[in-house]
Amino acid sequence: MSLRQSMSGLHTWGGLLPSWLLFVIFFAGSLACFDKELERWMRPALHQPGVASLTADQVRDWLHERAPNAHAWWMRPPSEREPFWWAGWEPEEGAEFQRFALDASSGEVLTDTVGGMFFFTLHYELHAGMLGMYIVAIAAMAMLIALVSGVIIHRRIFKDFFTLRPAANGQRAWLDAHNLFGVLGLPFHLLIAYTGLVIFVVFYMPAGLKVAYQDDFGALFRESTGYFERGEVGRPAGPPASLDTLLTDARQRWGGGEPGWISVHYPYDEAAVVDLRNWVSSRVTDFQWTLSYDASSGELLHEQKPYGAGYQTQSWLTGLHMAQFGGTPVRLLYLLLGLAGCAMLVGGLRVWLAKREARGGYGIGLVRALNGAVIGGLPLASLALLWGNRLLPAGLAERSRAEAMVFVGAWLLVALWAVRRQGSGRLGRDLYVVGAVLALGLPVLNALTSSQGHLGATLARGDWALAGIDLSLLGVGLLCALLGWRHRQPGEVHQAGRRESRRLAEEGV
Amino acid sequence: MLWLSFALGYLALTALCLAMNRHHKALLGGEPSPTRRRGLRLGAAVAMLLALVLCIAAQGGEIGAVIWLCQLMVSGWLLVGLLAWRQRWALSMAALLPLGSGLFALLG
Amino acid sequence: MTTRTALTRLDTAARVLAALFGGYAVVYAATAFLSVYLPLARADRVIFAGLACFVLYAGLFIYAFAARSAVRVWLVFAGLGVMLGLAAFLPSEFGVRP
Repeated sequence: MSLRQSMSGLHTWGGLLPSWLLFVIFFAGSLACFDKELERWMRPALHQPGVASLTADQVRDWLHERAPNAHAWWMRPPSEREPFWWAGWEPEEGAEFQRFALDASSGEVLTDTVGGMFFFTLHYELHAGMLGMYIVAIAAMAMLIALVSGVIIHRRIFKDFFTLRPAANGQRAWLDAHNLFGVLGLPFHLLIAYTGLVIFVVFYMPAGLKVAYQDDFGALFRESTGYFERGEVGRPAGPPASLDTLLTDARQRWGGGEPGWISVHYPYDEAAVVDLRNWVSSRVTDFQWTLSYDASSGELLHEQKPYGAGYQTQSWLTGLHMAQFGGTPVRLLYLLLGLAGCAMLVGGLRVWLAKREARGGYGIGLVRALNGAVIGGLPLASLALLWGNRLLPAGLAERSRAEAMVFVGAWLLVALWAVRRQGSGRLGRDLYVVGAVLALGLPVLNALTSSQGHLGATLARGDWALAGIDLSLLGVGLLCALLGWRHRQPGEVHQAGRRESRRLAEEGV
Repeated sequence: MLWLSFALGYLALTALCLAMNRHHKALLGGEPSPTRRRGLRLGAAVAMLLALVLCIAAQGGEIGAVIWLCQLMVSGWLLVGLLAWRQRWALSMAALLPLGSGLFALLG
Repeated sequence: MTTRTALTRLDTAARVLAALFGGYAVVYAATAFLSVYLPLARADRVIFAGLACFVLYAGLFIYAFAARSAVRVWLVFAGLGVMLGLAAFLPSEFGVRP
């Protein structure tokens, strides 16, 4: 067997199996580029720009009332993209973080929602905790291998660099598309798969931790990041120093930088520590420049030093993945590149199908059903989630859970429909029509449920973060309507010319 | 500035594309002479470099380089999309984009 | 014909298993090896070794399918894994130096 043949087998099967999972990761990750904008869209109370008057001390008092014995309190002041306070606590070390969004002027808890963070969490752990993180890592590794083997088998990389032939028969057209999105986007795909793995490298490959630190993760974390910790002393805490005074001091030390996450560790203890982290968006590396203060005397205990070479490199790579630098242009480019990654995956799946539809083979029905269920299901479920966000009553108990249920329910419905209709040639049209209705309806629903969030108001005051979401929804809706119109006839039963597929087979595809 | 660098990236890729027989035939007719091919490739390199300089001027070396690379990829898809569905627009776009974004940069 | 298909299947299965598990084992040993022997501070050794491990895994995966036979893949992986692993885990004092 030649190298090309063996790589072709690896690419075909090693690529097919994680495809649907990778589609979920890519799609959710693309949306997560604008997670904070979506978060705001999903919180109508924040549509009207307000004045931030709530102080850090007030937020701390709020936390003290609710969780005086928490292991740590966390809070994040409002910023342009997130005009509200995040406040929450870790009940015990390592326990699940309890998180609330507080109105920046009244201090009231905002209506519960999964928010834009839903897509972020879906992207990196599939809402399945540690297990999900490992599954995502396996998919990312498979993607890295598929990219390398794909480059090896694609013998006409430069010759076909700008080629797309939508009028050609199915397999040829989809292969062009798969190659085009894969090759032109290769730098991004390689980077995003690799840097995605780098973020949690120690979890995936604990060999170094074992051999050099004897599994002491805390020691590695402290040594690499220079993070300061001091233990509890078991005596009750004195009256706390003002956080706002500490923030003024920190801003000076940072040379005018703004604070990101603020934490108070073991606030009930005499040795309680306040950590203030600098919020960075002007560099790729997220160097937090943490300042640690004694929580009651306000004395500066420790200033984080610049990272060592290793951690500096790791957080630079992590920063490239997270795209928290460079503002809207970078986020927009990452969104487009991520969606192009989705297109590459869809193209690859269609090549697999077209090749086998022409000459028969196992698994065609299954792959078709999965395509409909995942590639149609996830975007439709995401739209349904936004509908649920507005239609579920504000006072509903466990409202964010109900929103997630809407998402899961919508996805299951589409999946069932995809299984029922697979092979009928009408599934595509069905999904496009539903997509058009859902997407075009959302800006209308937004106008009905938010007095300051509709397009008329947001465009008038130049609020592009909100207007952009409504406009994108309109664009997506129109595109779906157009595609639905094009697919109004039942799809032709795919009978790609045998000659063409034989030729492609000879090319080693 | 970032629109202009995007336009220059598009221009560069269009030039690279025209330097290939198949696309030169489709867009301008006939095969390109070796001199023209070399000229197109050189022009593409210059445009790409200029785009990089603009990105770096706008956002600094680190972030500018990332934006530049991302822009090149996206402009490539725009070019190929036009070639596939609206072939005649591909060349007009190569003139319109730099002009429009240049004006935009001057006025804005 | 059937025996040949069966043989090919066996060969493929052996390569898949070698790539998935053998590959991971070799990468584990290699990461440990680098974490011990890189001439850097402890935290940097561990992190740079980690950064290299994904590239290495991808390379071994490709090799597992490109090599002439599955037996060869298993021999190479076993040899590499044992050598790197022994070198990494035997001098335990040396590995934890700061």
